Amino acid sequence: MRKYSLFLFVNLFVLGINAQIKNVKTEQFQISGNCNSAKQLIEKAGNNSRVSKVDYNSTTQIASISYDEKKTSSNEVLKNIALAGFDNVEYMAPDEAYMKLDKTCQYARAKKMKEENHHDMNHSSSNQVENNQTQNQLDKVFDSYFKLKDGFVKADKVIISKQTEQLKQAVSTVEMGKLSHKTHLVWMDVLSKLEKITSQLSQEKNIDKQRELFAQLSEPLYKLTKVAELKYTVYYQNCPMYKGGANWLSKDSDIKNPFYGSMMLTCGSTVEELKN
Amino acid sequence: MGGYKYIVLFILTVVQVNAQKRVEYDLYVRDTIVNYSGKERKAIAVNGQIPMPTLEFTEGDTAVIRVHNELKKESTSLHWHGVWLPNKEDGVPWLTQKPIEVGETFTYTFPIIQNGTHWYHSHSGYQEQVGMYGSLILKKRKDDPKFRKGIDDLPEVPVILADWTDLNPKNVQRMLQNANDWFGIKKGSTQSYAEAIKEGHFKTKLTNEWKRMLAMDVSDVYYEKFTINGKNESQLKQFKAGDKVRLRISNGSNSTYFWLRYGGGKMTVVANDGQDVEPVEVDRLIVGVSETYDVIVTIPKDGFSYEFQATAEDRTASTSLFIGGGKKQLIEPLPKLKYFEGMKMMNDMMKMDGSMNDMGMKMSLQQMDMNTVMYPEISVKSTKDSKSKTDHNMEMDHSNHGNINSAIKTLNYGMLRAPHNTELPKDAPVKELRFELTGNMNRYVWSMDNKVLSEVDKIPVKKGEILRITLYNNSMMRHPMHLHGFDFRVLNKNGEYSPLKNVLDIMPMETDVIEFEANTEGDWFFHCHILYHMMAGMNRVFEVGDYKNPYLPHKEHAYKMLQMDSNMKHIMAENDFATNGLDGQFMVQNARWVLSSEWNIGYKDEHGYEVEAHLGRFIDKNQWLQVFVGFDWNKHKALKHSIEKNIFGQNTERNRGLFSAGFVYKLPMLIDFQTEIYHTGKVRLQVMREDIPISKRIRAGFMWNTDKEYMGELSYIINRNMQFRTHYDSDMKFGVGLRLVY
Repeated sequence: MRKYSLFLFVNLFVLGINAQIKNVKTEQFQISGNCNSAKQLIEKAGNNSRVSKVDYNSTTQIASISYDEKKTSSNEVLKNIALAGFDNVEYMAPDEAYMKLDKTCQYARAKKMKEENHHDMNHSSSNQVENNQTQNQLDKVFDSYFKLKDGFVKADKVIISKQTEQLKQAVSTVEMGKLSHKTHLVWMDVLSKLEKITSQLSQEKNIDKQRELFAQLSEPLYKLTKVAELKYTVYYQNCPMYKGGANWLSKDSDIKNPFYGSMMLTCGSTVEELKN
Repeated sequence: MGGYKYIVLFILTVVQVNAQKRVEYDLYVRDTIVNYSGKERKAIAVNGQIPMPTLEFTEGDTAVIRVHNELKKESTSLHWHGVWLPNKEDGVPWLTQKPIEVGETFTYTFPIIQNGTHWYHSHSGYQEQVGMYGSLILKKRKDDPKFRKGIDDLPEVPVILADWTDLNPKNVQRMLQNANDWFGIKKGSTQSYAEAIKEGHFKTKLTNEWKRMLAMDVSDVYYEKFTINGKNESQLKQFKAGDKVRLRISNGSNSTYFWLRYGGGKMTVVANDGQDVEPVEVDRLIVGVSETYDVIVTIPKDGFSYEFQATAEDRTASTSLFIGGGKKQLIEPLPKLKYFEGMKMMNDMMKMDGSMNDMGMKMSLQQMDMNTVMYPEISVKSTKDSKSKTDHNMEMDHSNHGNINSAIKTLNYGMLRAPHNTELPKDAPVKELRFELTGNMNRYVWSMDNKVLSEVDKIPVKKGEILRITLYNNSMMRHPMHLHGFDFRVLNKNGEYSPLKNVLDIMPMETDVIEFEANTEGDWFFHCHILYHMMAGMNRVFEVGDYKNPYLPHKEHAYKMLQMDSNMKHIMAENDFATNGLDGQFMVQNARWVLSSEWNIGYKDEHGYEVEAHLGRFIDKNQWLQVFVGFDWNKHKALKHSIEKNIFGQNTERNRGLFSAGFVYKLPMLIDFQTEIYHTGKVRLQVMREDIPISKRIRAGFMWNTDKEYMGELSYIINRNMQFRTHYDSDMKFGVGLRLVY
């Protein structure tokens, strides 16, 4: 009799909790998570109306998962919890999901995160350029133009504003006297334009407007490239889509379109190869 | 001299001994019940399994495969995808053989004269969608001079990708052809006006409809599950740190392109469509429907199982294979597509006349992927959230995230390079062909040069001729074009080392050139491998030489049967059971013709009734213009005025039957403009638009005509067969009802 009533009690209990889930099966799993919001996040990730329900205890780090055996599996529920950033017995969360958790929520992981050794990625190139400075008066102008272009390719506001200043400065410090006669003539032709565009660029904060201005730089610099006696090949490239067609210069024959950022990165083609 | 003879004789015997190795398989095809999504559905299993068993042969074997059709009702067939064989073994019903009828056994016998990763599937109806696909692995001989150490001796795993829908695939095709947007609702890609406004893309949506386009998507069908080797998720525990594994991947899906990614580092692509290519390391690649790729992955560390993930191109879901023992390390899922960005791009590319404009970009070989505009992981993260950090930190951040396009290396056809010279004989005659891939999303008609298979003859080709085919995709979808019986060269920058393939994925606006030597006689199918495009008619047949097929003595009749299969009639019906009457229509259509009937029947006499029947044909390539003849019958007890005039002063001619002729033209904004002249000389002009997507599930519609009739409606889509509808009609006034749609 006692056994019977206990059985009844258990039955009622199960039915009460999972009234809406059919073919219910309940299992316990360990899930990492140590902040207050962990309970909420884990349960949200694992709950699915009429299919699964998660009850997480953040002190014991144990989740009780009830689910409809015919519709899902404990694995599927655990996978969704891991995708929300929480390592568990079956799955390790993607690093990106873990990193997206609030700092206070980032529990100690059983595995090491990837070593983040990107220290000198961006800096080596800039150092290099500064070391072997201006053998050619116009080198600096082109260098900062190409870096500015790369900034637009990545749509990186910091690089863009930094290189805009560099370009502006480079344009103003060119010693015209040291230019060859032919170059000098072209320089005189494009100088006022360059000054105007770069100063507008440095005042503009909206990247779309900046791109419009940047597009205007192409033509004067193209003229300049033809006479600048650069030591490398420059590719004059064209994107027919941007504002009815716009050009830019690149040191790289591969297309990396600066007008759309990475959205349309490979849109365009090389119009002319300028060898020196 | 005698010595030489002896050697020659000896070599021949060896070859013969090798060739005599017969490898036999028995395949039993049976009906079955499966459960992929929590619901039980009909499917077809071969030897009790889905996918079909992996068949393995070594180059030089003779394959003998007996197919026993134990299905209850359907005939069947098996096609050996990518395999070079005599035409009669190719397995296309009504093209290379008769269908294998219920109870019959058919034996395919062919020598294996190649190696590589291939697959096989039914070429009958929609059987491929319900389980009839499997891996077909042709191994290199160990003594093959082209055997690549470090590649061909690695442990290998066949991987076959598939998509599963709970709907009957015939019904899927019917829904697509009726432009039913239920799949869009399931996928969250309705792109309604409400959603457009929310995302600040109202103008984009307006332009889109102005250019007569429906919601844009990268794929058409909603699938409940995606699978690798029949499972949504599985694990290969046998591999340890440092192990290299060769995955022999075939895309056996019906209409799904998959993005392939691996959590344990870069993948090395070593073969494509069963042909070796120079190894190339990539972060991800897209595998088109029916393409195969061989990819090598390395297990970096013990204790973890690394995810090899195939995500559907529309990113609704994915399927995974975990490689290595230990806890399964997940990859961050690919973020949802930015549909309105894609729509905006499409608007720019679409001309008013319905053809595509590549804006002077010479696109080819997947190198300029316009879909990239929709990929959030590639477009730029706003720099706002890292504002507080120092300049230095921000630069670091960017190099770390790896979500800048240049940091993700994606495979394209330009990167494929054959390890050997693939040039064709220079003295052979060349036949140049050009195909424009064409399509019509609104009516789901897919064609080549604007003609479906049932409208064209076979293309005659002389044996030994080189076919050089230029393909231009002037449609809005990408198409995996598959050629039976041959591998073609895909001309790319690698010149004489251009890769060999048998499936060419061609994106909208791309132009690609392929060539092959037609040196095997027979009727070879050339078609889009998206099953629903193929069944809509996107096929051609190359008739090489004058082949006598013992299985098909009456070739003309057989070809007619094949043509019929790819232009099936489909039915649409709907009826609104409203408070004021019955509103409904019925349609039977194929690629060009439409027979339709519409009715409005009031319950009360003063509401009257009206029934129209039209037989129409679509004229232009965009199918915007339809001419029709019809018969109208209407009765209306007008209470006060016994004679009504239309706006031209003609009698509206109520209460009688009228013959008519006219045309319907689709105006910008997808408005149907109809002009109809009746045998009495009366004219009726009408504008109408249905299915204006207001929000995800709400549709609006209106109608007005010169008989001074008008109608406005709003409906809410409950499920694919039911809508709650409210409307106001000049004859029948206000009504509320439930519309059933088939």
